[in-house]
Amino acid sequence: MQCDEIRRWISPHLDSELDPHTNFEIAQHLDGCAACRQAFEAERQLETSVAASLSSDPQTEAAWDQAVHRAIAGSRSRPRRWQLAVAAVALFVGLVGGWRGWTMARQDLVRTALRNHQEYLANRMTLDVQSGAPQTAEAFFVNKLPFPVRCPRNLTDQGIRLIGARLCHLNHVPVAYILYHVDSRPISVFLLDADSLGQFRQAAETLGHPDAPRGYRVGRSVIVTARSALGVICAVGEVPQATLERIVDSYASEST
Amino acid sequence: MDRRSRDRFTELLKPVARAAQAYARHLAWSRNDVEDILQTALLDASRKFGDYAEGTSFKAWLLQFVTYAAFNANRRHEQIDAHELMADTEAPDRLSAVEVLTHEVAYAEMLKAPDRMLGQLGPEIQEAVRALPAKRRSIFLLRAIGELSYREIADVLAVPVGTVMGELWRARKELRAALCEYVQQQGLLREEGGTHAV
Repeated sequence: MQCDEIRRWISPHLDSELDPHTNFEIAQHLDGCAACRQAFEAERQLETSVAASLSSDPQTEAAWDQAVHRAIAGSRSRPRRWQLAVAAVALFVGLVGGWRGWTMARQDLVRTALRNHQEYLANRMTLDVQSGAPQTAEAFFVNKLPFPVRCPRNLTDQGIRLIGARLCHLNHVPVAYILYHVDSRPISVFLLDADSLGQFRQAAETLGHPDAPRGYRVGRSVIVTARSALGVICAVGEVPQATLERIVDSYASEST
Repeated sequence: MDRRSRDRFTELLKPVARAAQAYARHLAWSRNDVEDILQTALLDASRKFGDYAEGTSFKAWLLQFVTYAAFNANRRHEQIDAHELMADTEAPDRLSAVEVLTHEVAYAEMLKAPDRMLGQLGPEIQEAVRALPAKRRSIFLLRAIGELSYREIADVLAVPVGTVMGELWRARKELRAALCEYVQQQGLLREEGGTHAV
């Protein structure tokens, strides 16, 4: 094949769409023709560069994570009768055995944080800033809250991805809301200062209590709360409690 | 969907997430529609996951849902229909001999250092892709982002393989022409020593 004929096959050759015989002929020609070799290589680079410039962005990534979460939640099959029976027994056992845990889960901070988290899941709340960079989230809260917000840097390494932040209110108290995703599952983190804890009477009592549990379960949601040097951290999500504890601990160590 | 299917669905989504996101982002006419497109596509895909045949390309299967969702979203913008209609009509080649020569020079220059040239043209490349007619854009993106074979693209869009080849060729030709135009407009050739200021 001549050079002009060979060059007509550049695209299908680069797309690996040619039959072995034509590929062989092209390879033979390229071996002996530096000009065509250069042209093929340049075209390949051009394609790669164009494809690379058509990447995704953090906003689309966040939209994807939400879409995955909702698709999975929306595709849950209806429980079968025996599953309902098992669930009823489990609920009974849970109610009897975990009465104390249940009453604690009703505590004011946990309840309010959970409601806000569910608002996000229901798409009724938007973020003020969307960024995967902790410093961007921190900068957003400057002059908006009476305490500094410090976001841990080590969470991404553990697969906990920062999505964005917003200013929100729990019981009329302004708090920092920071959203993370773990395997497309959203996690809401609320930060409030120690002075504001007075607005959450039940939380103020339980948080300082040595017997108080760190985590609560309400339905599929888990809530973990902790005191830090700066105030209170509360994380909510449909993830294992250990994941939330890692986040809360990271925030606590940031404020020391 | 039972728990096992749900886990499998989630597992299959992970390796194709980036391609599906980028595909939706660049196929959508309006950036505001991307979230809706992804939600509709993933919800439809999860509901029809029982139809997916293990061993076949999950990426091609999923991108089909993204394509339909994006086409439906794009259809909502009436002005786009007019645009697509005009763009779909094969315009006669009205370039003068000087313009053709200029494009060829620009293209040859671009091929010498595509990374350097295109590195400065991120938004322009996206704009050039967006200017392609709907079907052509979809075929180009399925190849460039989805890395699907011609056969897979044909199956996703329910068109013959010959159409895929033809549209892909036209898409690349149009993109190159647009990129040459941008390279010239922005004086990127002149910056390299002024040898090609035609």
